[in-house]
Amino acid sequence: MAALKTSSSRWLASSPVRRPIVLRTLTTTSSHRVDAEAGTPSAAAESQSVPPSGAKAPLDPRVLDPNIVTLPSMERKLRRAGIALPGSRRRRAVLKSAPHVPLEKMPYQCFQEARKVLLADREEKLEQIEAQRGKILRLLEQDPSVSGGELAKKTRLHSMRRYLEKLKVQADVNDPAVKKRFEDGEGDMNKPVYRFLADRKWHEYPRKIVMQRITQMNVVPDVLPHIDPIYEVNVAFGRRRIPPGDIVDSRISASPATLSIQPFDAGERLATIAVVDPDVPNVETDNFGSRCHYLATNVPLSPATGKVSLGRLSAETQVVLPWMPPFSQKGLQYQRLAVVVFEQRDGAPTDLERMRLSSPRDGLTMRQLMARFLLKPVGINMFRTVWDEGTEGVMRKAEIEGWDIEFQRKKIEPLPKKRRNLAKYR
Amino acid sequence: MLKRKGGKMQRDPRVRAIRYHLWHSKAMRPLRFSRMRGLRHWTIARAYALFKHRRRQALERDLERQYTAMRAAVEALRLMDERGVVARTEAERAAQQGAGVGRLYRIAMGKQGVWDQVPIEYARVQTEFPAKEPFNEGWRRPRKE
Repeated sequence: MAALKTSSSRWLASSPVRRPIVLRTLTTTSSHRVDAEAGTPSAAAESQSVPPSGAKAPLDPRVLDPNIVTLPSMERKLRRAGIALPGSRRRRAVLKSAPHVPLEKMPYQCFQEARKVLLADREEKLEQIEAQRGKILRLLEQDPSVSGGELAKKTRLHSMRRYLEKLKVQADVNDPAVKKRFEDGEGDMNKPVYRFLADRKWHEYPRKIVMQRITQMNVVPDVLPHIDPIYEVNVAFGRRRIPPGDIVDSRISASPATLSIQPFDAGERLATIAVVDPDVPNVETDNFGSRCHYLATNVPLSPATGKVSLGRLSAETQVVLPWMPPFSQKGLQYQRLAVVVFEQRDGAPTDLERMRLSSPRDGLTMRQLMARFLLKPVGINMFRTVWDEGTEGVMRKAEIEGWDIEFQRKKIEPLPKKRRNLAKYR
Repeated sequence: MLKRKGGKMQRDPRVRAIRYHLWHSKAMRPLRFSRMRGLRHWTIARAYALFKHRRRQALERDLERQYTAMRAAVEALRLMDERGVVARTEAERAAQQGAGVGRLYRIAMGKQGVWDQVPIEYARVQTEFPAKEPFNEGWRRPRKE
């Protein structure tokens, strides 16, 4: 750390920006950030804010940067001036001592040599990308009979495009700036490298959790026969994010959920979103059925879409079945609510009227929906609900019948006791 | 042996050394870096991995080139007649006649005298454990009837 400080300060000493004297008296260490951000006006501020000796003039809050103030007395002064302090004192101290030197100017020889190696590799990759693009264009113009038939040409184009995507990722994946931006959550999902990094991060842990929950709680095979998720789907109610399989208070889930749906491949596509409860008790048949709590179709999705608010989708053109609050009746176990995202075949829009006619809320299963509208499940998540103190109110407000019913297990009469024939065992 | 000096417990350096060598962890100390220091470390590690990958690739390519060259040379010997003309096609190959066709190839493939200077045990791949049947010193090529 000592080496870092000396070398960085040596480097900074040669920079043309001068530090204002006032700031140096206020803070214990150097504050290059302020210099860089303030620029020329700092000189004017300095001349104004230097108080005459002995006079108790209030310090100009414009000079005290709330981002880097750590002294309690200075904090008090800022607070009195009505300026909010961002973060903790510790965070501000870190910001103060962290010189914001861009990566390409960091004064570390080995690091800079490494960057040179990586940049040379990037140049090479860019050339390869250009070459591959040219090859693809030439193949596109080629007569299929020359390239070995229509199917062979299609296969070859597909694999060439996949290689091109791989090259695009490889060109940027070794860049420390890209890594940093991704870790800060500032990555642009329209760029292949950030999609690649996000996909890898999702596969490392969150996808495993979702898969565990949906298999442990038998969403597969109860709702869907099989799924290999390729979209990340997260459920939130308001700003409260729900971990997969969590039991959600019925008052919270009374309002429509917000989904964050993240596809990891480029392009716009249309999706169908369904929320389904496969645990609806049926007393007549002594069995369980399914109920669709929400169904919307023709929802446009792209890697940069971000959040989809289920309550805000268009009632005329998208929503088939509006949000019905999830509930579990008294005496029942928890109800599973599966949130499924389907991809529509070839990105073609679904016939909304046909879906409305053929999708009743009660008894609709995802297997029927998939078969009727040629849907492919690509993303899944789930949560649960139980009968809690708010359920009755939620059901009465939403005018759902059955809030006054309590389910009870049938008592099974024990078989009459049989006297053992002891002679048999002899 | 314990003694107090300046309010601090001091142990015998010999005991300390023995304890250290008995129990110190063999694992490397984990790298604990700040964010930017970690990022710099990562960059250097990536560059080194790239360098190693390139070096390994170059080595493999060189080996492949040598193997292909040798293979091509031996193939040329096999298709060569006594005048030194290499057959390019199947028809030319069929037209070649005489014992001189591929003579150099047969000589090159001959293993006579190869192991004269080296113990014959090295003719087989050396393994960690002996085979079920040990090396038979008395083996001779069966005589042709």
